[in-house]
Amino acid sequence: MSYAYLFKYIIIGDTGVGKSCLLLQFTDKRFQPVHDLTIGVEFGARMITIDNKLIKLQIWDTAGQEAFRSITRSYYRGAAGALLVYDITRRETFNHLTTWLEDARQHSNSNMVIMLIGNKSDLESRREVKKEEGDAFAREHGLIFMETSARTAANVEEAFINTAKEIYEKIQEGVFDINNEANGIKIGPQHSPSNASLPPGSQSSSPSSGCC
Amino acid sequence: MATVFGYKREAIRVKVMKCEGLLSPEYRKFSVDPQITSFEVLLSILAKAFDIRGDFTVSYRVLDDYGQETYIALLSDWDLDAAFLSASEPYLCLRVDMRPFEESCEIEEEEPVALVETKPTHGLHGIIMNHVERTFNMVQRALNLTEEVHATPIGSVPPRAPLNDVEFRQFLDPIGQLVQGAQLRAVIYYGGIEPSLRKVVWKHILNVYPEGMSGKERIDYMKKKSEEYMRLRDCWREMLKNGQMVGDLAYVTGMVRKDVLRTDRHHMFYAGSDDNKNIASLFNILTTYALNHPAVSYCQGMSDLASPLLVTMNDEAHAYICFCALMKRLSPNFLLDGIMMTQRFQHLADGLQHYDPQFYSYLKLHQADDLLFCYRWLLLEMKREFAFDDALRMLEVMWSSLPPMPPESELALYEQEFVRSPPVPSPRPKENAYTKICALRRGINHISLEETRRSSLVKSRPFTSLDDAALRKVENLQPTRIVRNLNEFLSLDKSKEQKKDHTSDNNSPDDSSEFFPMTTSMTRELRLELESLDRHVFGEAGQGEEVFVWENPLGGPATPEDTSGGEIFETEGKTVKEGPEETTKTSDSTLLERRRVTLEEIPVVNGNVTSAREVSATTTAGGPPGKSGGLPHPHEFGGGNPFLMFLCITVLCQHRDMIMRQGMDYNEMAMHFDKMVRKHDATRVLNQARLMYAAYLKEYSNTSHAHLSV
Repeated sequence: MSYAYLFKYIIIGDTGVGKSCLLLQFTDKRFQPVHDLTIGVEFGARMITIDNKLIKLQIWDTAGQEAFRSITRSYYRGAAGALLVYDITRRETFNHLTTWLEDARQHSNSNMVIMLIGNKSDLESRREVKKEEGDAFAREHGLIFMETSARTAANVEEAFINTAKEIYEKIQEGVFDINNEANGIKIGPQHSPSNASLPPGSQSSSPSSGCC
Repeated sequence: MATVFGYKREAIRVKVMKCEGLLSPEYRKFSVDPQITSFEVLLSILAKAFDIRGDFTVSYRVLDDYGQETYIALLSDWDLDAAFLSASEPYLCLRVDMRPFEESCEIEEEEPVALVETKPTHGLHGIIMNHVERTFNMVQRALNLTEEVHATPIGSVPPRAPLNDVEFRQFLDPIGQLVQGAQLRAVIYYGGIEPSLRKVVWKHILNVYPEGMSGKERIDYMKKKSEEYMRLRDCWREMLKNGQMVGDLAYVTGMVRKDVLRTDRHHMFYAGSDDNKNIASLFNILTTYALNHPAVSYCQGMSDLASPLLVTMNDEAHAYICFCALMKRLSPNFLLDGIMMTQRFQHLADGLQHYDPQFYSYLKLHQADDLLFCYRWLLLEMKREFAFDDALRMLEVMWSSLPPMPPESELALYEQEFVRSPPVPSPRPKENAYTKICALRRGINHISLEETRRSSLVKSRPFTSLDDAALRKVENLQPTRIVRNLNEFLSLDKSKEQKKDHTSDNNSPDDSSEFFPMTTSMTRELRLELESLDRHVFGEAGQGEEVFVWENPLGGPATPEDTSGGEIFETEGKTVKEGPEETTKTSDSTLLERRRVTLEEIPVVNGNVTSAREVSATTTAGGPPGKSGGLPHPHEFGGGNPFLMFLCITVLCQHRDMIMRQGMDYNEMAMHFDKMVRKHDATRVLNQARLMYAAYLKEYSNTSHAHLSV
């Protein structure tokens, strides 16, 4: 299926805040409490619709442990959106936001849209970070903010889609240079003015009747 | 398998939903007899029901405690039993997901790789490249590498049957001493080990035992070592019980606890509730290791390495001992300076460029030549790329490709023993960190007098003097470039970046003052400073040249792959600092000799399969360019694990046609390989990797005399 735009996202935040679970909930609509520990980076993708346009989200889910930070940094490059996740039941994951944010800002393009996410909102009884605190942090740093639950799926769609909406708006306002893939945005194959975005050789050199 | 629980019901009704990308789901209904329906049978029913040709995954629906629908992966007979038992009323609801190619549903199916034979030369130029291609064609023809799984009798059969009990006893003399260890490794390299025998033989190939032990001595040794482990473990457990959750203990247990709950949980050994005792054992192993190896501590990925050991040993202490043996070789991968991993990436890129220049240029064109999507492969030595049982086979084959490195007197279970009553946590963690570093530094035996003078100069000053100014001053002695990411580090382009003060540059979230485990982070950070200090001052990277420092917040101690072309196995001994004395010294030539003996004089049991000699003869005749010399020496290639490089190159090459045909970009490639997690065909990959490795070794043995006489 052909899309109008492709946006690259990155999910960052401390280990164990639920990054992979958010991704799985968004791409597969399921919650899997037991999943593999992320080593380096893992991926997901889903199509959404904004303004009647199909948009493909390509999501890079990163490992949270600092040992992987140097690897993670190289993934910031070329991301149009970032979900910065903390766990509302663990104060320290909130406390680390500043450094995550600095890291993200330093290694990404300046237009990257960052969505702050307080995850695990279903665990109200174990809450350590008030919603107002998340709100205040987001306001102070110019981020969008939302509390989500990967378990119940609350706000998960919204988090990914609202981020995309903001990116889309920026495109329409001409803030993003969509011809520069380093911005994490790619025009869909049939929407590009020429075939320039296709890698050379992808059409000509291969016999196309591989099926059966 | 399904008969184990003696089901009363004769038929179970099954509803299946098949999901594929954005296509609307398809549904099927049927009934199965739980007595005779194994997991494999179920898969074939599903494949027929939906006419599926590619790979797919199956999960079944359960209602969790919250009444929410959850799908649990269905991966084995065991899972199927669980599904029949717990989730089959009134229907068993299955979900089939098309994988791993869901991203490319609009693109045609993969062609059989064997078609390459008849293709023109892809516009390759030059004799060398033609050689490469011919070699690949030969390899592919030999292995009949097509995608149709059942039509490939040769490629899908290992060259030899697994080592069995009777055969293994032939490697033991009357008192149980291991004789002809190299031959034993060779047998395992070609065929693996029968699962029931792994518990015994893995300890040999993991270098747990010193040389020359009798059977009785090994039993006593393991007993003694197990007791030592218990002592190390009980030390921190006692502290936990007393509520002394401070410093490293708090940091390590916090990290490890989170990770063991998500390590191989699909395997029945770790399945079920979170209080599974095996999960607790894994936790104990990793925590004990981290606390007693402060230079390495805990890092994500270790749980994946320890898990197969525990499953196989089914004994916590034995698994710990094996883990220590394994980590003797692998700990540099986990050091936060990233040097070892960077080297592995570089070698993989070199190897790929050497064996498949066309694909390499493709990657380069798509700026994917950093190969970052292979990170997990290199860190976990491919463990997670194969289904669990296949991974066990792959691991034992890989371990036996390495030369034996028995500990001299005994294996060290700690690098620096964790102390029972740690100092009162300091309000200024730097002080602790500094003390630790001094201890660490003392353990590193560099010979340079100059260095001794310099480092004592640093040491003699109070920790507060380790400030930016002091560091900068030393740094100025040599041009330094801070490399911002691996990509850049690998390409090392010539544009000079502004020199940065990396002390202030290196804040990482874990250093925020609220975060308790600061001691660990700070230790490492300061250690990096000292490390790079050494490098800057003493020019390990070559005199008068720029010093490249991979910008990474944290550091580790000296790693074996220093650029002096140093011999990894010797350096390994040096990194062991305060544990029991344990060095392994082997000369260059003996090691290569051993490796060659191991892999060339192979008793091949199955007569119909190509022997190692024939294999190397064939492949060399077809000839990779007579320039394996372009690749690092077997001791260095892949950080001392050349076979791993060939596993990775094989996997890359097995997918290169599809990648290039579909014109995948960097992201698509990364996603493609990510989806292949646990899905690669171990036998095929091992077969091809063995062929490539044999050819490489042959090449090296031809040129080694010149090389070694230097």
